[in-house]
Amino acid sequence: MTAVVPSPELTEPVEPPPSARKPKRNWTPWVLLAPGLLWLVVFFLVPIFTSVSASVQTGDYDDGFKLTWHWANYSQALTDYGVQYLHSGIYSVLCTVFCLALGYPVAYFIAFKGGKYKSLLMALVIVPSFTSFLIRTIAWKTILADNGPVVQFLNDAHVLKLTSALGWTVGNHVLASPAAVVCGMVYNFLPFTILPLYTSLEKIDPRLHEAGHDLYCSPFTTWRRVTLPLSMPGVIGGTLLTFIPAIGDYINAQLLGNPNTGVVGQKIEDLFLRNTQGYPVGSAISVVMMVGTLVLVMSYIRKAGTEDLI
Amino acid sequence: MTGPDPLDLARFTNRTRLRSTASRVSRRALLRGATAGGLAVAGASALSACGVQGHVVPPGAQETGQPGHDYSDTEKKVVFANWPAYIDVDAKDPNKRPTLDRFEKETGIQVQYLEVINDNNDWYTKVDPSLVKGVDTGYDIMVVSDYMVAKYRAYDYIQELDLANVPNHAHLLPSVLHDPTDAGRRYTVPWAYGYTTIAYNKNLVKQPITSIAEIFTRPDLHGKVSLFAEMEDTVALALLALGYDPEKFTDAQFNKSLEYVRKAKAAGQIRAFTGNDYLSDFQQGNTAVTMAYSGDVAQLGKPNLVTVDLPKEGLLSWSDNCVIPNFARHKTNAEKLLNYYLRPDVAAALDDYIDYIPSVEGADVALRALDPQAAASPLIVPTKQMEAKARGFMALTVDQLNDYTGRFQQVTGQ
Repeated sequence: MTAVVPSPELTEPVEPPPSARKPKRNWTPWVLLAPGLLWLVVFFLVPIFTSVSASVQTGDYDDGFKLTWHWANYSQALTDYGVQYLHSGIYSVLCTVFCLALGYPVAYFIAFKGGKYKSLLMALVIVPSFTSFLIRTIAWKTILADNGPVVQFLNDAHVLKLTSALGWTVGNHVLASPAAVVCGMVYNFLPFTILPLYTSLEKIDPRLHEAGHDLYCSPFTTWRRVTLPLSMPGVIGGTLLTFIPAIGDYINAQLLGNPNTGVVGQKIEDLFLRNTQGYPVGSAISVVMMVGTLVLVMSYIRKAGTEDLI
Repeated sequence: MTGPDPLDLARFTNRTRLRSTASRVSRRALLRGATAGGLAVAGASALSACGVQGHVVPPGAQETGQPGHDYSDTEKKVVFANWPAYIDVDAKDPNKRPTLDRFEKETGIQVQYLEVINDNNDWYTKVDPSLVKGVDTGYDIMVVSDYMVAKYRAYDYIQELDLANVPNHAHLLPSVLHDPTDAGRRYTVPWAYGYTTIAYNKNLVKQPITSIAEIFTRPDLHGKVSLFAEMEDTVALALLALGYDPEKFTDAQFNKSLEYVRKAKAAGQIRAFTGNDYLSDFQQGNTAVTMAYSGDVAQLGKPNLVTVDLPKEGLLSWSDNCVIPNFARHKTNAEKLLNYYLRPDVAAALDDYIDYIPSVEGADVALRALDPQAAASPLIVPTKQMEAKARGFMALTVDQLNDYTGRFQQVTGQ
């Protein structure tokens, strides 16, 4: 059964023949790895293969799909759904930027000024996400209802006139507008930014701040020269944890947007569930999305120079 | 085997070598091996996954459905798949459904009533894999919209009714029997028959709406209009607005009405393309005008939310129909249930609750006795004028349906 394979290792000094131990191939690492490998194969490699294969098929649900290497699906994905890619990109970048801008001060405050209330404050950040993502998003529909107090106030203060002129909102309401989508995303993903930021800020020795002060640095310079560089792993981690799910998110656009704020996820859902010919183009869109996200994230990591983070 | 094996030595050295490398399996080698193994398995499954099997029965076969073995005599039950909020519910106990309970008591047949259908196309993709393979779907009755019946029939997916078990079928109204997709109603029994029209919120819309075209064009309704996400609803409405006939239109007319919808959407006139959930935004005042199924708005019972009973251009009629899929296990029981719901008193009780139009003779009389107020509503007992101006949707071929649906979804662009 064991075929003799010529190998340079034969020239190595051969170990003395073991007498007590039974010569046996060591399967232990494979057995230990098996569940993980199986998981990877079934839930990662197989789906990727099927969606890549589906993306070059033609046909429809009723007559079946055949592999025809129809690469035009990709050009269709890019030309017909360019607007949705653009929206996904813009909304997720805005969401990441706002999350960072809002999350950094919060994490900083909790890490350095939280004192004995640290755990309580962190709990306050996390506990809202114990409620379903969907429920919290739908709650925003009530909070921002056209006849609700928030929108009434914004109208009375003429804020919505300004934002509508800028194209962020539509008419005299907030719901069903790009601004509502971005707000919903920021709200939903904020904890994912705060958590890694807090972890890396909390590790920083507060005595470094004192040292900065002793060396005649202003608090801002101390932050810029000391705290920020030390918290970079948290910044990178937080932005990645926000950006990657945000670019694929479509619940916010679905519930808080209007027909002109479509994102890629909504199109994929439509093509897979409600269009009998949609599988191939839907798969092509997903593959483009995956590759695009991968390229963006990889170049970001490379630029940020934190391979050790991953 | 006897005698010294000439390969013994070789095998021995080989074993030693193998063991020694095995003990030094590096992480890299392990990863390489894992990747190769994974690729091999994935490659094999990818090959088998290349191409999804299509239908055995070509579209257009139009046979009489394929009966399975009927267990009605031994299993006293029937499995009924319906849409949510589509049946009468006891005012005190929401778990009780009076008409169904009465059927169970009268016949001894247990009804497993499941509210599992939310979208015609989603539902089709759910039952199709069983039907294409020729196995029981697990459902004896399912409720699908009229335009989908054409598709189920084209693939020979639903069974012809045995009218001996459905004697009340004879009392169906002539307007219901003349169905574009199932003339004579040999395969379907309407569960609900109704109109699609428009409704608006009087508090938000100062000037009353009288025509469909207004909702696509009036500037004071900008960003306040919601339409339905299903192609045949919204396209039919646009066809009416443009003065075409939804029961008989050409490709060019379809294109024009699609363009009409696209323009309104691009201009920001349309706030949303919604499914069954259109009422929540309408009630909250987020949308001021919405397409509406006739009974829905009346069911809310709010004086400021009004339905336009008869827009200038006309209105749309539709039916949701009970069909018996192939290989249903309890066909006879299912037919008994359908027959029961065609009794005038039962139909009146159901339609009084769900606010749709009864489709059997005598139900209007029974409804008047049961609930005079509901019977006075033109959306439950329509006027002659409304009946004359109501339009169904043209029966499409499967190719047309797929093409139109696909293009409509590109326009809705959600």
